[in-house]
Amino acid sequence: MARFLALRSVYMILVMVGISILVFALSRMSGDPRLLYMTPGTRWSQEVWDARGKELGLDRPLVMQYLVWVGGAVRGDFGDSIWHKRNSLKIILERAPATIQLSAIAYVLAITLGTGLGVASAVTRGSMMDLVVRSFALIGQAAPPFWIALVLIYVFAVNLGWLPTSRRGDWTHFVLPVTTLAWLASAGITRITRSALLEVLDSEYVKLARAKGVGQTRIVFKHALKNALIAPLTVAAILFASFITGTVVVETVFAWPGLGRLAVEATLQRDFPLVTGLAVIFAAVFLLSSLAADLLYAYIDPRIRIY
Amino acid sequence: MRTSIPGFESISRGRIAAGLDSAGLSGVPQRAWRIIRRYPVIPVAIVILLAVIATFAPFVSPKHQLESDLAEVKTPPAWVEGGKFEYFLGADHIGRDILSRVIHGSRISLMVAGIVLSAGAVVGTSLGILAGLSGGFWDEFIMRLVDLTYAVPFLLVALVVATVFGPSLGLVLILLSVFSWPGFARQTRGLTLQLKTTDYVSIARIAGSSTIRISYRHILPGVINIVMVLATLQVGGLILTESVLSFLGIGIPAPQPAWGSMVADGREFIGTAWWISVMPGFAIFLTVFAFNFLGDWLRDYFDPRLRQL
Repeated sequence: MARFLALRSVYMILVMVGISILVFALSRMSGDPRLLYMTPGTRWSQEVWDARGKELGLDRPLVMQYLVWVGGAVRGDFGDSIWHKRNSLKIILERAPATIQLSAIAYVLAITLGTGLGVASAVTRGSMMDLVVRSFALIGQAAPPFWIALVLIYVFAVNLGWLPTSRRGDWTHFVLPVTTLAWLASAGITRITRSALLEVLDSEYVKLARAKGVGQTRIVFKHALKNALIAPLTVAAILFASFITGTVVVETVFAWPGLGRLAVEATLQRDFPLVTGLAVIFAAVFLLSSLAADLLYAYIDPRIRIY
Repeated sequence: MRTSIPGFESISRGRIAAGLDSAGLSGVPQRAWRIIRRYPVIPVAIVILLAVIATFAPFVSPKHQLESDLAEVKTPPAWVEGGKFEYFLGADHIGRDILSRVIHGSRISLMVAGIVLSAGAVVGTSLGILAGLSGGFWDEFIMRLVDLTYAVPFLLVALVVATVFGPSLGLVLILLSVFSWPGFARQTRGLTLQLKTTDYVSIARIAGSSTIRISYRHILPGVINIVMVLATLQVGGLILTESVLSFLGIGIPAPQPAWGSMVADGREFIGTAWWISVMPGFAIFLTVFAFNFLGDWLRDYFDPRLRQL
């Protein structure tokens, strides 16, 4: 286990270095980085131009420039946001709670809903219940998330007037964004749980339990479920990845003041320091969650040996 | 109705339900129902319809996709009160015909999926076969590259790239291609490792075939099925991803009728003119649904063991 953790840590650092080189190369590929900081249509005098160049370290060799940039990034300094004219990390930290709140609720709901529906549809295979659950999963996987969100807004906010259309506020503001996110995420879990449980229910040891006269409820919950939940649980751990896309879309539609919307705003304003800060932080969270997924996998199923 | 033998409960329930589906039908309808249950008739029909519409877009669309008529701003669909037959799916916020734009949008979606998958499948399959056949350094190198691509979240790269270069069709194609090849490489490598040990490959090698000849004469025919199934399974996801990018404003640039940006156009009018967003969104849903369903069916048809794909 120690060896595995060490290997994975080295690998994660390599990936982060790769990402940082990529981001740095992109920032230089677009031309002089000073252009990114300039408001379009304005001109700087030669003195300002040179002074900014020195400030950004452009008079030093490229490798040094990279190291300076990485050195700042490691300490959480991605440079001042061009639009907000403040430290990028501060802005990110201000916006983070809204996103964490939203995705934490949606995450718990997605997992309980996904596994619950998956079990329900596998146990009642071929019934009306099964059909409804499978359609639910099918829609969640094929419909674009922003469209689900807009249709929900149209039905529940515009027509019925039960819920607010957007922004953050009391609990009613959470219903639609959480539903959209959870629907998106639980679709995959539902399908995987269903097929995994069906497979286990067909295995020899379940047949033996049946032959011994164990009841259906006991078979499902005591014998089959533990083995069937391995696959959906690992999916649940890497779900953070799809949550990045999910929160970006959902926050944009619902005008939710979180990181996802910040990322889109920053991109459209071409606010490079802020975008890189967000990208690096999201990437780190993503890598940590995939590490957690691997560890969880090995912990739940001892038959799987890692390295 | 519970059977007393617990072991057969779930099975018999399934049978009863399956029997109920065609109950009450006989003759031609029953036979038609059986075919629909067994073969993906509806998804195939949707895909063929899409292909025809996309190919002949300028001829089948009733109006020009960029032409706006200010007298028709927010005209509702034909079946809604106040709707007109000439604007069958309604008109958008600047009076453009939504049906024509949806028809032209199918071109963009299918073209993006087609180009990206061709690039991804060719590069991924070649690298996968190369890795499987040569082993050693190249195998290790290519597989680590696959891992690395999987480890980087797509949308973040898309955001950073869009910040630097500004959104364009070329960027969307390049970005999606970069992220679509690893799936092909991983699967073809695994299969190549199996095929490598077969007698006919060994005999070909003894007979003096070069590695390149072996790869396209003896390995490629063995992996091509999987590549086709994988490609079909990826179409839906690709169209969805492209639509997300366009919706966020970092995909296909504005006047072009990409489905995702059409939905974004209608966002602020969801209260007054729902059809501007709902129609193109429904087109995305139908398309992705058809391709997902078709992909699942193809996978089960060719090899049910590939369920994990």
